[in-house]
Amino acid sequence: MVLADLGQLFLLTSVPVAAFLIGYGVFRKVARKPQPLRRIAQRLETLAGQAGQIEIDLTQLQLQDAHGVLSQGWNRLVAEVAEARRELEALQVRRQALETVGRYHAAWMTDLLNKMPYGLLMVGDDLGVTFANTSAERLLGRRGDELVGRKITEIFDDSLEYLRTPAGSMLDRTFSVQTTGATVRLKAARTLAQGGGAQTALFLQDTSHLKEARQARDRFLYHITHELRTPLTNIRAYAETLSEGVLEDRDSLRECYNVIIGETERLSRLVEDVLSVSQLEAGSARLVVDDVQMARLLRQVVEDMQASADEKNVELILSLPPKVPTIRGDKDRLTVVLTNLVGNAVKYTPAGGHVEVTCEEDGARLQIRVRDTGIGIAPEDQPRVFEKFYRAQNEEVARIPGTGLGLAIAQETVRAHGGTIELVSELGKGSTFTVTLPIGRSAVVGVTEDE
Amino acid sequence: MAVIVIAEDEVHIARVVGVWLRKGGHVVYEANDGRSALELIRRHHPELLIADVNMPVMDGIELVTTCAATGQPRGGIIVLTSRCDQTEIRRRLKGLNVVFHPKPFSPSRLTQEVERLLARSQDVVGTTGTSRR
Repeated sequence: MVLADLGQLFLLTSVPVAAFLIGYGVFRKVARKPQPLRRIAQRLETLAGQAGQIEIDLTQLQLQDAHGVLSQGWNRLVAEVAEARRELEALQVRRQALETVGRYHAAWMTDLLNKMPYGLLMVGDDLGVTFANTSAERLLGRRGDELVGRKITEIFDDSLEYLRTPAGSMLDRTFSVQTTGATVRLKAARTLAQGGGAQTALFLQDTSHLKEARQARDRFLYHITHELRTPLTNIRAYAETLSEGVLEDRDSLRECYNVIIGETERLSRLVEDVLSVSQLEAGSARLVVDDVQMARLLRQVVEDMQASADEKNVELILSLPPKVPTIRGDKDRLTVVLTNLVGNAVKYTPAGGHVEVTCEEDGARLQIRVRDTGIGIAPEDQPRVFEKFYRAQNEEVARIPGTGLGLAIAQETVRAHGGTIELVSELGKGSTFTVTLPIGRSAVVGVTEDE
Repeated sequence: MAVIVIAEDEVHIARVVGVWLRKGGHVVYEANDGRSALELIRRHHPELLIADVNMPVMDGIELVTTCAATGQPRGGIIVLTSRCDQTEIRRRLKGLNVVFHPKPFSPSRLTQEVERLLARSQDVVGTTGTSRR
């Protein structure tokens, strides 16, 4: 029993002692000279101090056994981290590139939106304006900061509440803008919700020109009907006078027929003029281009006007230089232009006055001047005399018959020839109309004595 | 026989209307603008005025309103105007003793209109005369 106890005691004490001795031996061994784990640890400590230097090859340590396996695992890990880092860097480069492109696109888009001929307002669901392009600012006559941040209801005198609803995208209305007097057509479109809720794009189109065109058309029709009425009244009244036998003496009868003939001619001229000016304005007039001997043309025009000038006791003079160039143009239409100008000069020049037609050239252009000592054109009327049906607003002009189409036709015809027509005038002193026509490469210089 | 003033800047129109009215035995004075017409009215005290609307110096509207203000002429006023202008002109001459006659017109119809107005005016004068007696 004692012996067994002793054996038991021995066993109980020897195991920890042996374990201690073995452990101590290992400890001594590890502490005394560098072991693989310690070397790995050292490497890692070095690494921790050097950010970025993770590509440390532990296989260089030539570790064995488990340590070797560990170092290989480490190396794989390091390789994967390095790969991930490279990918990250590549992604960052791409992101920066995308950001640059994005910034460029944003600038490009804003520039594009600002250059659109249509106004654009972006409106949030709270009816607040979040964006306004340059055209919108111009159309509404307000600066950007007077639009963005405001409620759309403050900008248009309409609640526009229905913009909040899907039906709001059906909006298509025309508004009159108080600040600019412009007429604006408003169309809405719902855009995709982006973060801050759905937005409505409002497109603004300036339709003032349509209104102007309508007004111009109405004015045109008004003038046409007025101009048609007088000759029609005369033809009707004189024809009825003849058919009812109201007049008997030969002279009165002849006068009736002459009035009818004269008024029929007036109607034809009016119809021709209206067609002419419409075609020229629409650009659909066809010029029959040929060599036009301007000296001959001018002489013909002056000769045709001579009777009217004599009747009015107005001196009509044509002064031509020795050589007048031949130009390329439509002879009939140019004749109309000069007949209108010389005719007007005679018409608006009181008895005793004179009208002078001159011309000069500088090799490239031919200038024809029609100068009169007539009633002149007031400065406020000067910019408008070339408008069709416009006649200077004064009593003297009102007494002289005219449709107000002659100068419109003259200007359009000269333009169609690539030329210009200019006016210098002083009320009560007279007017000078200058027609400048290009001579052109194909121009042939003709002599005045060409007949 | 009545005295009639025509205010019309289109000479041919004034002349032909004058021919028809003189044929009917009336005394006719022609003016080519509103102011001259007003002068003729003051001088000759016509029974009737025939006026165009678009005239230089003084237009038909001004002439007619000026005349109507003084109760001249007694027989009334005929305004020659196109159908398309009538709405605006009627508005401006509202409440005045004015008859509108469309332009272009038939001189025989215009003459009939003149006779109708003169007859009406004679009736009024006649009635007034009787009551005075």
